Amino acid sequence: MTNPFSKNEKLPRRVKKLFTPDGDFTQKAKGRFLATFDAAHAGAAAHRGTAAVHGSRFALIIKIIAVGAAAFAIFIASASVYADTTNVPIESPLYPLKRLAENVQLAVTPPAAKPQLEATLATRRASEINDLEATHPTSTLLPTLAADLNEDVTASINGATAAGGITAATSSVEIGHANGATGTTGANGSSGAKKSALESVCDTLRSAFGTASASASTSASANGGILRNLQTSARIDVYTRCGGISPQGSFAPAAGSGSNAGSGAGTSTATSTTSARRGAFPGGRRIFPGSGIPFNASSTASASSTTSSSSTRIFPPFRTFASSSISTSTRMPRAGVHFSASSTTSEGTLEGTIGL
Amino acid sequence: MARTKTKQEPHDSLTALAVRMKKGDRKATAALYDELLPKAYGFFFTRTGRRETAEDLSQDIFVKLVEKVSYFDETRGRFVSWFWQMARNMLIDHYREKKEAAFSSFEEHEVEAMAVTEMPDIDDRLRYREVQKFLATMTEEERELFELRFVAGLAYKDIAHMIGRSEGALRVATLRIKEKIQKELKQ
Repeated sequence: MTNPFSKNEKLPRRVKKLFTPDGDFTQKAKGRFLATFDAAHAGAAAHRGTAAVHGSRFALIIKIIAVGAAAFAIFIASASVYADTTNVPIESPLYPLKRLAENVQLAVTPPAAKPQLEATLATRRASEINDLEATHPTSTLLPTLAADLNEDVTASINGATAAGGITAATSSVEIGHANGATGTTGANGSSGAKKSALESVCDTLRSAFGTASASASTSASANGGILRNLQTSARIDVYTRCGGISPQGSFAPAAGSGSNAGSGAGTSTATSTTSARRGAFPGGRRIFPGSGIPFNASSTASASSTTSSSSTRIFPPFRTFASSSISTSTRMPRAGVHFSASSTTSEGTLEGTIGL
Repeated sequence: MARTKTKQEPHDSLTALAVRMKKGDRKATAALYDELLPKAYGFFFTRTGRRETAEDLSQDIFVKLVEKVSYFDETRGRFVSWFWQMARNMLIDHYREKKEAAFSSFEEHEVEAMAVTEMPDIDDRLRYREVQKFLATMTEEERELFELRFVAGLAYKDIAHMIGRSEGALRVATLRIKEKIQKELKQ
């Protein structure tokens, strides 16, 4: 007889059979065992199942929301970058994203670099206005764009001025000097760095307005007046504080345009107790050469000139008094500008109010 | 105190089934039952010498398995060791509660009578008598080793872990049992 344990140490089958349970018992016991198992695990399974289902559903919803938000953010960011880099026109559906990207850029740009960026944005707005006027002269977006342009110009110049430590009162002097004007003040009082900050902004703005060819003056739309004012205001900001461009350019509105008549918002008053001399202004510049205002012609007195013009807006067609204290830091009032002046000369006192 | 991370070995098939059973896997539970019931029954039968008692204990051990399987920690050992330790404890409890004598304490005629009444097959009866005689010649240690190694089919490693002896000593003891079985059952 062979050794039954030689390989796997198992009992001989005939012996093992003695230790094997009956088939019926095995099946019945199995049924009872599984029933016990089911009963024991039913409650726990139900509890686990419910918790798992709730947990998994919640986790799934959170995941879907997170993935969706991430995808949306990536899409918006990508579209914004694309819209910004390609400088999409205002008619494009991506234009709001372009503006969003610009705002983000403005938010993250260091203060020192902001004026230049705003000047660049002003260039964009000017270009957009030109394009939109060419294609949709009656678009209601034009005034909005012009307001944005105005705001960008003002902010960039103010920012550059503030960054350079140049006050509004002296800025025109310095710019005049920088532009080669033979100013009577001869004061510069600021460092080269200050100059370059402002000049850089001014160069950009001059470039924008030098190449701009807005046709607002030819537009017969209802927006024309407001648009012209806004554009002209921006242009005058550049002219007044940067110089180097024509204050009128192609934006010049027709004199006496009735569409600019409005409320008294932004009313400014300029009172001159003496006659103003042209030579009293930096570089001997006349602010608005070429326009004919009668009372200016015979002013010969040499007394001081006082101008209170916290929000003065002076428009090209009107020759008036101006001084270096003209501030351009305030927004252009949409409804128009009231300009009042009284001048006392040897011939008497002249008072006048001009509503735009 | 920092916990030492033990390197976990891949589970053997029974441990894997037990892990699935813990998670509520009914199929794994049924497979575990199919694998263990014959061995558990054989273990209890060799100890008690009674089919009915072996069947009762076999059922009880699986009910207990359902209750206790959640305590089984697969990172601390193999399932087969854990299960047979539970079976041994159950047998001890059974003897304590029922005041029932172990198989080895039965008189020979009693065992023969039980075997005759419980086994209808004449060959089985004869064979059982042979086995009973053979088991009666064994010491308590040899009987336990016989049950765990030949009936339950445990590995030396698991038996060593359960009864606290070295594997080498178990192999030597098993060799003696094999020689005895050959000698007794050959006749």
